[in-house]
Amino acid sequence: MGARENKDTPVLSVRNLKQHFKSGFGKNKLVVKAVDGVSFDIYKGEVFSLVGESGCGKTTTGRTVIKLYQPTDGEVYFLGKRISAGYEGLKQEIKDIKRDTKAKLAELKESGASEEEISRVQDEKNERISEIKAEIKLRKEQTADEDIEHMKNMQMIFQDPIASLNPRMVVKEIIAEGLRIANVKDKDVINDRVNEMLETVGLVREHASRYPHEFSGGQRQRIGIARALAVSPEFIIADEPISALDVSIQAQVINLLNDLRDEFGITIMFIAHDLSVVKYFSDRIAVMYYGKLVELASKEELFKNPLHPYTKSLLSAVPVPDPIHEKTRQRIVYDPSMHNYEVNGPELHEITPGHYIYANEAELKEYKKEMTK
Amino acid sequence: MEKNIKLSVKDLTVSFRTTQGLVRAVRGVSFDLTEGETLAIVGESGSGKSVSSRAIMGISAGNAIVEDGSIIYEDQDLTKISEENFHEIRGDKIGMIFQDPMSSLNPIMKIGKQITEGILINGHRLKDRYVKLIHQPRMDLANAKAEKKEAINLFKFRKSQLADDEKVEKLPKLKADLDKKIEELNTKIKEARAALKEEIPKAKAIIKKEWKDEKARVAKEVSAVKEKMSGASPEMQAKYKDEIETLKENLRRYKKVTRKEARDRAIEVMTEVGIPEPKKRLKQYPFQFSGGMRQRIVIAIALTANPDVLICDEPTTALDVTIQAQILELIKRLKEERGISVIFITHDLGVVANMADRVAVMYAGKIVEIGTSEEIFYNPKHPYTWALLASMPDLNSKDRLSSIPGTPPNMLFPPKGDAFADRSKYAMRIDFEKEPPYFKISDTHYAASWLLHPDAPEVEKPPIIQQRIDEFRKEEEVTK
Repeated sequence: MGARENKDTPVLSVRNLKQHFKSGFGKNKLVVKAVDGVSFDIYKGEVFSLVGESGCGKTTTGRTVIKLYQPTDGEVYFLGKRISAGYEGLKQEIKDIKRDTKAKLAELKESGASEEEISRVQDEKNERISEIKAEIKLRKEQTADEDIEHMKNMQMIFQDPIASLNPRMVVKEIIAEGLRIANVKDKDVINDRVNEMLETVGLVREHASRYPHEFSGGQRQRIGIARALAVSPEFIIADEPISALDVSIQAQVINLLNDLRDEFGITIMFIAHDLSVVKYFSDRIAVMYYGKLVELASKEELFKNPLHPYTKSLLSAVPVPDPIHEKTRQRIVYDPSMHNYEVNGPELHEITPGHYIYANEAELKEYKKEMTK
Repeated sequence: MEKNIKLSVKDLTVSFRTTQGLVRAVRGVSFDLTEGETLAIVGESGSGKSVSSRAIMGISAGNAIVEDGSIIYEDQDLTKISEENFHEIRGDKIGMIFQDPMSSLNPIMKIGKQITEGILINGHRLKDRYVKLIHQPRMDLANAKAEKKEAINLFKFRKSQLADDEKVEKLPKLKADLDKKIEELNTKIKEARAALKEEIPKAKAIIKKEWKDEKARVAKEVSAVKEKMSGASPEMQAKYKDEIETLKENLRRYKKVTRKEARDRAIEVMTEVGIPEPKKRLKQYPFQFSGGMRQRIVIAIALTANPDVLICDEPTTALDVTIQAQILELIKRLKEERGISVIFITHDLGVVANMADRVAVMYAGKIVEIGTSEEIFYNPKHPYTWALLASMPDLNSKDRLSSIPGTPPNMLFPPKGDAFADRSKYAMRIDFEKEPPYFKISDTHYAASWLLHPDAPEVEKPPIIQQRIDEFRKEEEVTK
């Protein structure tokens, strides 16, 4: 199911993405690091899941990827093109260079270095800074104007099917909005497309002239999916598309998403906290904890060999519909203070091909030992 | 084997009056809740699970009418008793935890105040004693009044249900019945009022005397301490001062719950539900707490009054898995420590498997299947239970999920026969015509499905459910 067709060209590449939210001034200044240095690739035709508890930054990641937020730092490449990039890090780099050269110059002057030496250092600094400034300018330019043709390949399905549909628009207008923005003007084309989409998601043509409130939760979520599909995207971000739905309806929507993936080869980034659904639906899973990616692996690998203690605690907390199993279940408690990152900072390491883990050198050794057991 | 029955719901029928007509939310629900057990009620939204529990708490919406049935708690029918009487039960004896901890807490009130609020409001000890003295006549009067109101409401409701052509024929009888009932009740009210009038001055005198005696007793003790104080050393004087303060505090506590007492109690329950640094936390606002902590506070508030029945209305739906597991463990621990009975409402079957001793599956305002947790999960009999179990992916599912087609029925027009027939692939012709009765499978296991009728064809539960059970058993073998 959903094999990686082309491993070499990722549909989406996220590099060191950071999204910090600032609030308050002076003493009350508060920076929330919602996403703090996340990198991953999503390949064609796969379902890539982001899981984690609420507030861990999974939704923010999705929203930054689709450019609802301007990232603080890091880059997002979509279909080979950089669509979004932050430059706060680069600005910081300029500051650092300035400070460093100042110190260096003072040192040189003290030791009585030649004029030539000093001017060389200064030139070096200016060159670096102008390089970085050019990069910042490039990033600003590249990400400022929206390339609608390119971006319509990325669409989003939202969590709350009630809040994400405009109550004053009929279903037809809702589904056709993306087409209108993409400059489709022919009414017949729009009508045909809307009808086609309604049928694809299991609704009927007659529904086109109704308002969202006339539908049940599951049907509303189908409208949201139809809206995302109308512009034939290659990549869909599904932000908890089923958590607001009833059990009996959840299965309908998951089956629908599965069919769409098989039929149109759509790549899906699936954001969720229900691990049973995630395991059923996705190919690769990334676990997030407080703005960081702590573990990333194929679903088989992740469920068979969970390494990070947070992943283990998450897996041990999933309730399953079996009383005997439930009554004997042992929950693992995760305590973030167990990591000692004072001396040796953690990084994302590839422990086995395709299995990434956030750890420092010492922990990595431990994990490796655990794997060979 | 026979356990004490704490709460008994019989044929409960609740409808909502709307502009479009009557929405029949609950259509004849019966269950017993025994001491110390957890009964889980499962069903999708609109199946009537929340409406039933709200009826038990007596907090149904304004347009709700209890058409029929009874809720027996401590020999009282909660559907009939008056609001005054209900005050002594709601919160005190039957507590409730709501779904969304953000909207069930007041955002602009400190946590400490929210926890102590109930204790302080219900804390007039002298007044309580006075009320207790006149309890019987007071309740007789209130209940009689409530009964009268109820009778009139029911008459109005029945009248509105009659078709025009029936009116001529049936209305006079209904009216006559009502008049007779009202007359009876009027005399009852009169008697109760007279009895109450007689009791009030007696009770007042008793309480006054009690308070006077207590005051005099404390004054005597205080003056005794004061006598010792004169001429004592400075350290001793400080000690005596404290002693007097305690005496005075105790006197205040005799009259009502003091702030300090309420605060101590709040800290006690906060510690019990696992909130670290309760003294500091008391002074914080809800937004300063995480979702899991907020839910703990909601539970703490419910616990301050020592309820013996706790209704949990989807307490973990808004929380994520790890926090959910913590809250479930907390509820289980409290249940064991305090021996309370729990009604647990949810739509997550995984949670049910974790929590429940018994499970009731609700659909379209009815319990379609009820049994012990093992019976429901390992030997389900109703097609709706099958569909629920089969549509849920677990960590081992690989095949296409079997979804339930269609949507739940519109309860403005409740379907004839088995309500689930429209969405069930096992439906037979009789399912559309006649409502199935409860078929007994074992002493504890009942299901309302025609498939259990001896004449019905043999139908096995979907293979996916059996596969899952087998897989779990296999896993257990391996881990052993």
